[in-house]
Amino acid sequence: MAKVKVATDWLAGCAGCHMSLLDLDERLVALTEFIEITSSPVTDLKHPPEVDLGIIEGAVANSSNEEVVKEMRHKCKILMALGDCAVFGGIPLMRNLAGKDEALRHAYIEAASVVDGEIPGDEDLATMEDQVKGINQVVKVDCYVPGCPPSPEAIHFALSELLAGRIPVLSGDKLRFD
Amino acid sequence: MDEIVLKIDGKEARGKRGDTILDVCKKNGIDVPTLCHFEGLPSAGSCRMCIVEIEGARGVNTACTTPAADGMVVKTDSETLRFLRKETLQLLFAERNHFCMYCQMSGDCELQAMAYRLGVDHFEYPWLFPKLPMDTSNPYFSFDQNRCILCTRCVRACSAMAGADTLAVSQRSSRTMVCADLNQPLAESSCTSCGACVQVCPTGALIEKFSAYRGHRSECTIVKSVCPSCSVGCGVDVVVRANNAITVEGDFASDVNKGLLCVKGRFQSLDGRRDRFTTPMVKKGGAFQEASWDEALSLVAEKFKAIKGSAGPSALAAVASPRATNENLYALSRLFKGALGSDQLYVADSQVAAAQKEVVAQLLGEKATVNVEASLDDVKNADCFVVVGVDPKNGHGVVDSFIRRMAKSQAAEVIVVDPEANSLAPLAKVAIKPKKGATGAVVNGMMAVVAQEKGASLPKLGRYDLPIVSVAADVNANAIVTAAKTYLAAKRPVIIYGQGATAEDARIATSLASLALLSGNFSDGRLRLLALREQANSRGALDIGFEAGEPSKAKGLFVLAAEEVAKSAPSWVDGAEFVVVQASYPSALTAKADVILPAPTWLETEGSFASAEGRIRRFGRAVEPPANVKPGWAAISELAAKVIAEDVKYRSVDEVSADIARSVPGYGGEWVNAASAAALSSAPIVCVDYL
Repeated sequence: MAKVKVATDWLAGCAGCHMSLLDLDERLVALTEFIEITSSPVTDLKHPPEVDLGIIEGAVANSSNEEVVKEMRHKCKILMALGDCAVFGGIPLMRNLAGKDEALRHAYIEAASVVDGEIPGDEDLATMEDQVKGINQVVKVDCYVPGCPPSPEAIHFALSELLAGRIPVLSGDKLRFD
Repeated sequence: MDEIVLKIDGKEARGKRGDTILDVCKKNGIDVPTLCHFEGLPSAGSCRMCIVEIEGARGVNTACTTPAADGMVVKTDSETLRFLRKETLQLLFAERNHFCMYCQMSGDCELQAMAYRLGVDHFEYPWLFPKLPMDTSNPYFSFDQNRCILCTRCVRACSAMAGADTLAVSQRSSRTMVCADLNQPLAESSCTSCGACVQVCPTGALIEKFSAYRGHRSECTIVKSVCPSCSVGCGVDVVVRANNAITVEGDFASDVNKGLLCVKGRFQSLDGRRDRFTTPMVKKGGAFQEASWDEALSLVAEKFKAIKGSAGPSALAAVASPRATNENLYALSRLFKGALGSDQLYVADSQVAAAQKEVVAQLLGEKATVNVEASLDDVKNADCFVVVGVDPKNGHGVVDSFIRRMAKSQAAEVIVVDPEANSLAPLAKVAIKPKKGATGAVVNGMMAVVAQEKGASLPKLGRYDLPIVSVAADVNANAIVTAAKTYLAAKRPVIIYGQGATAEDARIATSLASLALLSGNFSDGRLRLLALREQANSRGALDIGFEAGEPSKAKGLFVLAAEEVAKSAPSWVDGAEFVVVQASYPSALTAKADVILPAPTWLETEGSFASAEGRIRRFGRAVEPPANVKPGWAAISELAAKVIAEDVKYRSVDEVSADIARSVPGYGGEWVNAASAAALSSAPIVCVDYL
């Protein structure tokens, strides 16, 4: 049977969810019998090929994030939102309380550690979205694994269920928002 | 017929007329999800989690607010209900700012738990991100509007439990906000910091500052104990993690207070001080040095015996804190009376407990050792409160709540007699502010009115007719008449008095007891009268044989200070040659000691208090003391053994308790023995001449 092709990427996130994925330890090695990890921040291939499962960590906070998640959606059959940031915006979401302009002003000009600050605005840089969003506000998402980060057990369960042909339904210890 | 029968989820479910559908479900083991519901508080129906489908009824209805009816057919689980609950919960998350990732309630939050229960793994609705304030003005707890789901448990607790009605809901629709008074910061509002709202809040909106982030409940154990902060004796739940008490909560299972506490018990009883005495200390050459128990106790025994030999046993005195347990006090009394032959036992307390003891003596004779007072249940159900010389809000917050709860719904009338400004005065039907020193005259004035109404002849009250009393006290005569007649007309009145009255004249207690007798306000051997003693064991200390007062000219002193910290050393320490202090923390008092014996704190103590209503409140240790700290009674017992060169008498606290039950009259059971109804019926009415 052909291996299930998987691609992962991260947006506005801390990479903690990928660390949790790696925390599967030997179970990840066992899974490679059934899955093939193509592009991912771990394998350092930048663009996903056509894959069965796409996994996204991190929220959509700027135009680059939006491009990346749309490309992933285009290339994968099933899209998983991994972690609170991807599921609903997580920690980066909190800048929505201040608003984009105030957030930029505070970070680049007003903060105590800044000297002669200037808000960056180069045409080569991504532009900030007005509001940080979970990825389901930008693309259709098939499967959600919340957590900050989700535990390796939750991730293992989700992957096993998907391999068995089911959308995972998390419960008990595996469903958490923290 | 009182019983009703419903069909819930296809099965027969029995209930009682007056039950809500939720009540019936609970009685029949049917688990309906709830969020804003809280057992003991009136229901609000605001969270919509408990919605059920009722055959023949429109839409869906909240089980917590819908009365159950005989023959109702109810479904608590269906696709529609699951869908509606899940969508509503997502809307609750989207409405404000619920960030579980760093919230200290995560893991203990009922909103989060409901999301897990309903299988919410993502949010369909974009979040609103309203900019909402946080009120951190109160020193003990903070209110974060971002985390509030408007369940209104806090509002209902503030009203039904605390009786304060500080919290309310303001504005409408998406602007709805819980606020204090007229939208003031909590610290500037009528909030008494009782913390009932903090305990019932299901989310991290209301959190205690001291215990924030100090542990999830799954990492803690809950130990039931008794609050040591006043004589009410509220039941508390001490939350302990790794031998550290991280917070104190009200015990809803305790019928004394049913979860209600006050600022002293909830927020001020844990101080987290680290500078403990962990070993005996002996003063050598002006400085303290660590010593072994054997060395320290041998020195004390030697010095006490020497003083007894040269100046007699009454040169030795014991002074105890009124927060000390019955067991520690009893062991101390045995050391002094038994081993040292001294009867100089003092408790550093106000005169309230002594005044009430005198009431018993006056009414039932010097040898009587019974309890003649009202119970807290009498207070909770009273229809009239006569509050004399005490403002319960200052030191007995839970009693204050009991009064306000009844008074504000007009279920009870309040009469205040207090020369000082009293916070109950605005609620009172009559508030009498006598000139200082004239409280006794006012009480006699009331007695004279009652006597006249009842056609009783009390010639000794002849001098207390209204014109004389109103001039002496500078009080309106009509106020005295109204007060007396209101009291007389009440069916379940309770007189509550405190230090303000007894400091003026301890005999006011006896006059108040006589007023109760005269009005016929007693039943089953208990007067409808309660002395609000100041400290946890003010009552026990006197019953065990301590006298409220100070020693004079004592040469040898044993001070049982426990965890009390004196701001300045009392004057009676100065003349002594040898001072032993049994204390937990350093203070101005311990600085003057010759020997310091380390003492456990209240959390580390096993024992009992005799509460104001005469109940023996037992409690165990919530936390283990440092290794070398002996229980108070144990150290005292070893000292006694050294003094009389015999074996240690008490090896366990139970042995001390057993001795108390045998030797302290009335202390054999859960309640101090009450007087008999017959005894009170024939008790004399005592008229004291104050003028």
